[in-house]
Amino acid sequence: MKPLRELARRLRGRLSGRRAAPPAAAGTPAGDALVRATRALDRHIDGKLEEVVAGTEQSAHAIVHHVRQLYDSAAAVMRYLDSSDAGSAQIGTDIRDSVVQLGAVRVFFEALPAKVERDQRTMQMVSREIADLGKQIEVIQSIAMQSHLLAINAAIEASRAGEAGRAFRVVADEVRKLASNSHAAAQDIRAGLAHAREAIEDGLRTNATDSAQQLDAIARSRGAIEQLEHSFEDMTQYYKTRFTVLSRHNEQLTAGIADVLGQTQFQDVVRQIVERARDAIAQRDAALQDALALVPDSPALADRARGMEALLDSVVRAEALHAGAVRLPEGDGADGPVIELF
Amino acid sequence: MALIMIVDDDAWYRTLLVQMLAKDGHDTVEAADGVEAIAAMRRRRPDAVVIDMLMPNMDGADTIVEMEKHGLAVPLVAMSGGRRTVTPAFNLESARLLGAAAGLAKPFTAAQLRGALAEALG
Repeated sequence: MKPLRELARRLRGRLSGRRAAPPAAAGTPAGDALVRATRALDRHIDGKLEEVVAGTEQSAHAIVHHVRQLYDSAAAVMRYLDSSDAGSAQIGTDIRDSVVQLGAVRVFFEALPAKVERDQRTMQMVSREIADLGKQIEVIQSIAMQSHLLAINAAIEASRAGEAGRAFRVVADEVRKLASNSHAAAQDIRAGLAHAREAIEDGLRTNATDSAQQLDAIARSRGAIEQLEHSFEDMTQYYKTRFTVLSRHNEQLTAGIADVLGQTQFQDVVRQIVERARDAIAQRDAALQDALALVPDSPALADRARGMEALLDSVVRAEALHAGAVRLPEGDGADGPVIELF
Repeated sequence: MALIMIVDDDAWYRTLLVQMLAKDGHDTVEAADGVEAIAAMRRRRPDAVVIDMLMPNMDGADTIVEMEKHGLAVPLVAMSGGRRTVTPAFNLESARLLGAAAGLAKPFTAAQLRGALAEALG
């Protein structure tokens, strides 16, 4: 802003330095007319330069105001991003925890086929033991049949008197063998039953332990999956909210930058006004220089006075053409001059 | 007294706020989410909106942006219960950057609501 304000100051200095009319012409009608026309032109140019200085200051204030707003807004968003980074770290921790728990779920499912196979082997063993038990029962049935037949034979032999002692010894031997076989069979059955019972009890114990572990594992799996779901929902909501806030901030930033750019356009308008003022001053200086050489109150001097009035007219018309381009606002100037593009 | 819109998907909380505000002589209008809120605001413009940040369909942040886009901006009081990551502090700071005049972390008292509304209504 400073160069433009300095230029306006110098131009106004030039105006005030040459405000007096040529001394030789003063007091004559033509000379007075020239002085009036020159002063009118000076006042007009002075007024325009006053406007330029005021507008430039307002524009500078508006730009500073907008840039300060942009800076404050950007600083607020930076603080927001810094503080909300903690949330981002929390999401990362939750997801890592969920992944660790899901790793335990994977181990559980990996061990499941081996456990199923072991359970199957246990059940097969129980099945074999039961099948063996069936064979032992057949032996006992066979022994029972032999015992029955021997009892009949013993009864027949007993009916034969005299010879009973020898015959009954044979029967007694057979009965002892029968008893021996029955005893061995009973022991085998007892052992088989014990094995079967142990196998079943072991299977039940294993199943009970495994079931409890499986329930724990399933509960942990459910917890891990739920936590993962919540982490995902939180993450989605978290980033969505951040995105909304940052998008809104971006829109405000874009609008703010557009405002600042709009204000900088005003400097081009100022340049145009100052250039027109410089041209007018140059023409005024040339006309005055020309008038100095003329005879006071001569027709030529009167002609120069009309020329000065015509110059004022053309300057006023030129400014009127651009009058709608810039509007200075009321108030503290925070809004800056309003630029109408043309 | 003012017309206050309450936007919250939790019907129980809406009822509670209606009762709190009625004691102060305010009229109220309710909406269960952002979509309902925008539609209701087009019918009747409230003096202020008390809005929850976590809602289905259209959450608080989107609703605030939509209100502004549709020229329905009014003084706002944001409220949030928050979750593990999307905490009340995060939600209320987000709401403040979007233009909310005041924020309330759930649960809050009638006096806190009164203070927040006074701040919003100026």
